[in-house]
Amino acid sequence: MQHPYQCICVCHPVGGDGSGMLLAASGPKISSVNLQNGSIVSSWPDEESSPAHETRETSTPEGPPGKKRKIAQSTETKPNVIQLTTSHDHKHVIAATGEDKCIRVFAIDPTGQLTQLSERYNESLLYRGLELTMPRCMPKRPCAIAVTPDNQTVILGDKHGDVYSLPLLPEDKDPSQLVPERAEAAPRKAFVPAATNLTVHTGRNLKALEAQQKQKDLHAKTKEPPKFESTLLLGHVSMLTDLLLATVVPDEPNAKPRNYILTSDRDEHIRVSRGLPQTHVIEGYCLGHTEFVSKLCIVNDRLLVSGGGNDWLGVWDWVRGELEMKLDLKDLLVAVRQDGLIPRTSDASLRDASDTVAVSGLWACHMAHPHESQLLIALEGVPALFHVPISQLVAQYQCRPDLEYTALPGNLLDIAIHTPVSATSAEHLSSLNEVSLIVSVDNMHALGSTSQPRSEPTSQRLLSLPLCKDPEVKRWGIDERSTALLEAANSAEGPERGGKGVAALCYGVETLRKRGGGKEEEEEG
Amino acid sequence: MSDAPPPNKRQKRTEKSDSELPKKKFYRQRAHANPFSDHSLTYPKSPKSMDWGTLFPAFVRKEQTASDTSTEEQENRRAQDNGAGSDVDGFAGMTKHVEVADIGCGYGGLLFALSAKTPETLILGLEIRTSVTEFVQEKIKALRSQNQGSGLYQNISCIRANTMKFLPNFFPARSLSKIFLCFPDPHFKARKPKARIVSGTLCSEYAYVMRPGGVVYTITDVQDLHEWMVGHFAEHPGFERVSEEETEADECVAIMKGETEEGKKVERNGGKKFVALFRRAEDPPWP
Repeated sequence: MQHPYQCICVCHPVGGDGSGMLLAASGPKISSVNLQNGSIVSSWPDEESSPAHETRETSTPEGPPGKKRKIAQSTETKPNVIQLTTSHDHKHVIAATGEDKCIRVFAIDPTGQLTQLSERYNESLLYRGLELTMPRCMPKRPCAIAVTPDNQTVILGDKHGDVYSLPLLPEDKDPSQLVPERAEAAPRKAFVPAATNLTVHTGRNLKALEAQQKQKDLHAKTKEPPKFESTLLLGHVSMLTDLLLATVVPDEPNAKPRNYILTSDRDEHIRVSRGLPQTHVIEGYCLGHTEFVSKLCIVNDRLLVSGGGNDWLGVWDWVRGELEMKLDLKDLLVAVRQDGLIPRTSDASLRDASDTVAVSGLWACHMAHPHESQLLIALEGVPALFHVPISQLVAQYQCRPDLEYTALPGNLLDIAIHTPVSATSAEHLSSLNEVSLIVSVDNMHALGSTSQPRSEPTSQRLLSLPLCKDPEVKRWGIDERSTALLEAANSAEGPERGGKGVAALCYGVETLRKRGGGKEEEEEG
Repeated sequence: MSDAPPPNKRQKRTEKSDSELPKKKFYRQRAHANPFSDHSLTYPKSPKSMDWGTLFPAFVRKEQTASDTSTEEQENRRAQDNGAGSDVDGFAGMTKHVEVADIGCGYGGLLFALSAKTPETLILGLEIRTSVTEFVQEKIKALRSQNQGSGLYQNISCIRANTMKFLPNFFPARSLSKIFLCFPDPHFKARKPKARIVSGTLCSEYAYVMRPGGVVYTITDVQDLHEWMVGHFAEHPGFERVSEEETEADECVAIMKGETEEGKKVERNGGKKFVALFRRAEDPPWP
């Protein structure tokens, strides 16, 4: 059975014909697909060459001994891609892989050829004369990445709540500097226990301290610093879930644009910090969620949409930290179920799961006419695309926003917004009318379930949904003709994976929910 | 690693009248808590939904009851009051706002000592351990009941909270003038620096809830931790260390050294006390 595409995005390589490339990650494999003719241009990692770097040790030795950690199943297993994004200039593709916690940067050429800029010692790549750097392994699993507007820096949030900045392309250092020789490292400071008999008093603690002091050659084990440049910008004592960069031009005259970093966490927070280089200043919080926040999306200038474990989306004036409105999702989810899209089941666990809402994706899809722009919403394990006009997401909008859905033949996993770009920017505007969505759906699990396998697995994993011109029809409709163009990608052999691994990779949002009974919020109207 | 003490202790706790002081031996609890765990905490979803009136009933604005006023009315009233009451967002309906936070207040030694020193300043103790919080709450209740005539101990209160996660849920921006971090858990394990109450990233949160000019007070008997805290606050652009002379002259320092339960214990055992104060700087102008 083919592995679904868990992450997809569209890239318009510089010098390309403007039709764009689809980058799609299926398990550990990234493919680039020419959207003009549907051909698969390149895949990473190369099947034939299995670079030695792929199996390199993933966890740096750290801390005092004793902590048992899960070793990534086997060294043969390649790490799964968990994040995929492009730089704003469409010259580079940045991927985060899960098991080895690495950031990998690729160059994408006009034909869509992907080259990882990270295998310095891979001879087979060197002869092509590419600039090469090492894959950068972070101390914790990356969970959100963003590129600064100047395309110089990657901002990365990790599972432990910390946000780092890394140069997109590390400076080309001498190889000898990249691999510091341990022997030459400065002699380590002799270990002196931080505790003394003045600070610990209980019998057992004193005994432990005595044992520590006896041990002569015990060294203070410090975490090996990463071998690449990285700066800690800010951090939450929580699991970080999403990260956005935003720029706002203040109302004051002659004010310079201000950069911000927005971060969300599992403990219901949305934090607004200043952007580089003043990330230590917290400007405010958007507080109001009563379950985890999993996704953030800036829909226009000062309007932020947030979603997570609540059955509504928050619409915020994020600069002021004010909740403008709550967009209810529950009613439409009930409608989806009543329309028979999610088969009724006697399986109790499945029914429970379908009662909760976990927002797994938010995208702003901008059209030529701003009033046509839409917010796209994915709920975990739901075979439908929810959409709502962005113009209705304001407190002043008196009516109920027209939240609608488009049924899909599988649970929605990811969306790539495809806007064909023409050579000139003037044409770019008109081409906004031809926006279409490429949607990735789960071909392995039953509709509406994140655990139940499908009775009849299919290979259809990618669909094309152009915008319907006819106002009577639902906004987005699956188009057979353009979906046929994705045939090569749909039938491409994916890695063979067990169902459990796929579920863990594709459905991680609901696991953020705190156990032990959800406390219900008191409504404030 | 259960949070709850054996039930017999719990029973004994209730066998006393309201004005009787609680006995510490019934409220003992392991001195560590995992700050990363979810626990089963209650916390407001934002400072605006915090119910301060229950914690500080003597400082509720008299002419209104909290329940039947809309935010609009409250706002109007705040405008009329014009500085007479609390003008800090999130403390609507109160005549004063909480200005001092004792993070990790333990058995509340500092709270009780500060209460008499500054009776007009609202001080909130925050403690992550359930039993210890209950002890402080019971003691405050008893002391308030014993001092009804003089109105003492009305300005202190204690809640259970994990401030490392939820500090901004309780306190609005720039509302605190003092934060105390007294004898925090040293977390000796080198692997868990993020479990400590002070880290570079948490300093940003302390800066957020403090008004410029406010002071963070730290004291510990563990030299490594002292150096750690000094290192992180000194490195943080939002704080500057308070000079030694000024530190010595600060009356809160003496209270912190002598009145905290942990301070007394260190004294008994002949340990050292390391004190450091940090002043919240103004935010830099936008670049």
